[in-house]
Amino acid sequence: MRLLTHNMLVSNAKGVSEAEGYPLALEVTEHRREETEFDVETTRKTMETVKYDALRGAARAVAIDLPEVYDGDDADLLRKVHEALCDVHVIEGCLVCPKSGRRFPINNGIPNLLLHEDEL
Amino acid sequence: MPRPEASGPPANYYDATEAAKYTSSSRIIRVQAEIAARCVELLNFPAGARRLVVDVGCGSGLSGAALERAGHAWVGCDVSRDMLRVAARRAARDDDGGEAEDMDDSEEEEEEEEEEAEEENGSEEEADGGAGDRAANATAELLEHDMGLGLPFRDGAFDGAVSVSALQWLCYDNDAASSAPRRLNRFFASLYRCLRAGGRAALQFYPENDAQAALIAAAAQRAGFAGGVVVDFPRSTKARKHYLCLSTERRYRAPDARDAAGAPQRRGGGRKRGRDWVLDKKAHQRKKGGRVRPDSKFTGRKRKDKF
Ligand SMILES: C[S@@+](CC[C@H](N)C(=O)[O-])C[C@H]1O[C@@H](n2cnc3c(N)ncnc32)[C@H](O)[C@@H]1O
Repeated sequence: MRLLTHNMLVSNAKGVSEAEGYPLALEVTEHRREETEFDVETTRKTMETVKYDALRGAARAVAIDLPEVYDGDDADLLRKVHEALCDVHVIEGCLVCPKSGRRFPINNGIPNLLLHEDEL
Repeated sequence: MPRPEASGPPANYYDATEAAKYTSSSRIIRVQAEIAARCVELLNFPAGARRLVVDVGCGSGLSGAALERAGHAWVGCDVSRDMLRVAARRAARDDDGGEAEDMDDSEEEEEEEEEEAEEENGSEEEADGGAGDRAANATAELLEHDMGLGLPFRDGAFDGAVSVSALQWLCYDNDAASSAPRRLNRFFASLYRCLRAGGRAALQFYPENDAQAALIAAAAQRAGFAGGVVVDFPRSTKARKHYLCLSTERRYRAPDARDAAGAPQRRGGGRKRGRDWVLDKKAHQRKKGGRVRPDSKFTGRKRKDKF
């Protein structure tokens, strides 16, 4: 799972509104990096749909420090953002609903967001 | 033959044996790729821009491969761990420039031979063999989830959605815990939310009969979608395919279907004006978070001339 995907995920659990179920906390036990081509424009474009604060929190879990404020004109920052969004793959870990504490395991790079019917 | 959808939950049906067919059968590979390519066409995105698309019931990633070929990034969601395992292996293979990472099972070897034997499969080889695909960041992002529970994505996360041969599963009470209508409603409501303003969906499915196709289309409409079912090759039982084409834009009309001659079937209808147009504008503003008066029977009415 890349952090770009994490940025889109929300908890569907009962009694958790979208505002409360986002972002999911990220716990990482294994991750790997795999360099991909960096392009300023593409990254800037991607950032239009990314929530920066959520990305910043998730990046911390894989030891990438992003500044508090996003600046789309800062090429160095964009490179770092690209690394966080695209190059990092979380292999083993957990996603945790910030409201209910419900844990969603990540195994072999695939998060399991399944809920039981009675959790909805 | 009874439909597999009636046999029980999809995660049981799509086990390791069934999943293996999605890499070993060149017929399945070809058919799924063709349908997925048609879905991409039906999304009808303006050329050039790279989009983020969710593939619902992504299975082994055959449909996702078509998205990659069109230059889009995708996130796949499927309820079958076995199908997802095949999808993850495909992605890993792309990574290593065409070599499988864990070639522990013999089916994979057979698959390679069979694919080579079938000449018309050239494009498929390219699709999941090329490391070039990966260089463009088009990669399999996978998620284990049941669409009937509602998609777990935040508002406006995606530009579009596709689904290939999966939606009909929502029409059966095979999970016992929840009824089909409830699952359908939850799915479409969540799909509507996670598409950005102007977002589109092209969802191919195999309805058991016309009533089922209508049921699915009605659920989509209830969620706020505009659009409808496009039936390609309606006169051929074999080639006939149903695509539910949707947009969050009220003004949207589903594209023309394809007919045997290859020519699209013409349909009436030009650009919408009046009330629909106004409702569309309001829905758009609402999605963008703007403050909009609630719709009423007066919405879009012409004001009386005044002096
Ligand atoms: C015929 S396969 C198609 C897979 C893939 N789209 C392709 O074109 O190769 C149908 C897929 O839908 C998935 N599916 C069925 N019901 C589902 C549900 N409720 N939620 C998520 N996936 C589901 C199955 O697990 C299976 O992988």
